[in-house]
Amino acid sequence: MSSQAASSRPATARRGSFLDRERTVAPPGYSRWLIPPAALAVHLSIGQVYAFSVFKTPLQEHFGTEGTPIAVIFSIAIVMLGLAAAFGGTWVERNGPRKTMVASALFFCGGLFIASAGVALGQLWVVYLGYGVVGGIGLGLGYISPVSTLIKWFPDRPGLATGLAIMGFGGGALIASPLTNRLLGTYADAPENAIAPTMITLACAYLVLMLLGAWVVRVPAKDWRPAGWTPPQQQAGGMRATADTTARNAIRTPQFWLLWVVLFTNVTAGIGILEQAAPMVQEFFSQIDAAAAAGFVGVLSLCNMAGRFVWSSTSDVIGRKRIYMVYLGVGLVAYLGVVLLGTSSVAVFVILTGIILSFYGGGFATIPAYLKDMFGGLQVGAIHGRLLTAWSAAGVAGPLIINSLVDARRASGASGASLYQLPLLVMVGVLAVGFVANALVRPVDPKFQEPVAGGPASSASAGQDRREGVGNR
Amino acid sequence: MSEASQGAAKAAAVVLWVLVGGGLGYGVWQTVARASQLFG
Repeated sequence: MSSQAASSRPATARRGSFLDRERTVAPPGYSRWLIPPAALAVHLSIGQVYAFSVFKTPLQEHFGTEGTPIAVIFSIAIVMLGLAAAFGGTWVERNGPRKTMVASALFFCGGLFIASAGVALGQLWVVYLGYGVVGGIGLGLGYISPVSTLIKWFPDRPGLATGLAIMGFGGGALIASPLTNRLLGTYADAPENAIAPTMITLACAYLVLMLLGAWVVRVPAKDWRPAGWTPPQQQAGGMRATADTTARNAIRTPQFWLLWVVLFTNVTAGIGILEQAAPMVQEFFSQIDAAAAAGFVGVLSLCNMAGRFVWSSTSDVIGRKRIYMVYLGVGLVAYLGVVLLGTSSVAVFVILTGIILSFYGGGFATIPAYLKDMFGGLQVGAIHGRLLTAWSAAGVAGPLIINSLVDARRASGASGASLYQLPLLVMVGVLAVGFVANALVRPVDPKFQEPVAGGPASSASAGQDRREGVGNR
Repeated sequence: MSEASQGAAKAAAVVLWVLVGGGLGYGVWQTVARASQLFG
């Protein structure tokens, strides 16, 4: 927009709306510990998507259909999450966290309202549109919006900051699952008749929580730093970038694609266990009944959530590259352990799979901090959004690998734990690929970086991106 | 930002801490209860 057009606006318009980034800049002395609950409010809400399975049987009963058409709802939502994060990332960076969190709340809760209408009308395609498409856009915007804000507030501990926020996404399912079950039992005699009011109740509760988070969220002033903290000086061969890289340039670097492979392999391996958790434990141990299998899923959920905070915080101490060596290397050994020792006892099986799931969560939570190390904080949200396409791809690849191999083993006459030997060994190979990709990560070539203030321009393309207005922190 | 609105935002942040902390506590408690069935 030209300066002439801006100057012709009334003074109130120049101040911007309540949602604008400029109106969210924190005053001096504002405590950064007031920001994490805003991020958690959004992630705890949108984490409901991981509890979608609670609706699965009631929806099947309501629409009188098989499991696959209902499972498509969740798949659409996850694909839309990845697409919205990838394509909306730059918009998120430009408009700031408050506008994005409000947009996320309107899309996510609006999607639940539309889906409830689809249920009431008996139209499954409306549920696809509501929960899947519209709600999925809300998931993508909500997932990335608070993360880059927290990284800017915690430059000294970015792993802790991203772990806090993304732990909320794992925790969201822990809340939504029992809450949804309770609501389904409250509104009607049969759960299939209580879906619409349950969705409306959840939408109202999440709308309030997310909008409260949007009101509370603040961005730090441009030159703000934590008291007593100075940015670490770059050492020769160090992994932390001293200059920023734009999202457009980041995807031109090998580092971005190596990290894409790292996230893809880590998520694929984790989903392999997560997706098959209940039937897998029952095949390994014939004495495990359905209730105990549900308990096993609960253990994995707790490990997934705890890993997000614990491992991501640990990465601040030991470094991002090293922690991914642990996720992928120790995860590989743990997978081998499940193959070789998994049938020895329930405790051994639970410990090994719990470790794998904690690394799965840790991988999600640590990746924004890894990106910040590699590409700087300028557009870390937009870069993170583009990287989340690895999640969407893994969400398809992981279950496909496991299910097709288990089906093939079953068709060849295998049963019990042997059903899973080949799929688990394939996951060992997947993790080995990720381990190598992580080992190949090196500091970003300065030609991709933005010029440092007062320094010489690094590259023509970097300067062009800055002129296009992408450098507004 | 006025002092009043800043104070309200801080109060809302504290309320949010309580809400998200309580929600997480509820979720973890419910999940631990479910998880205990594995070893029960």
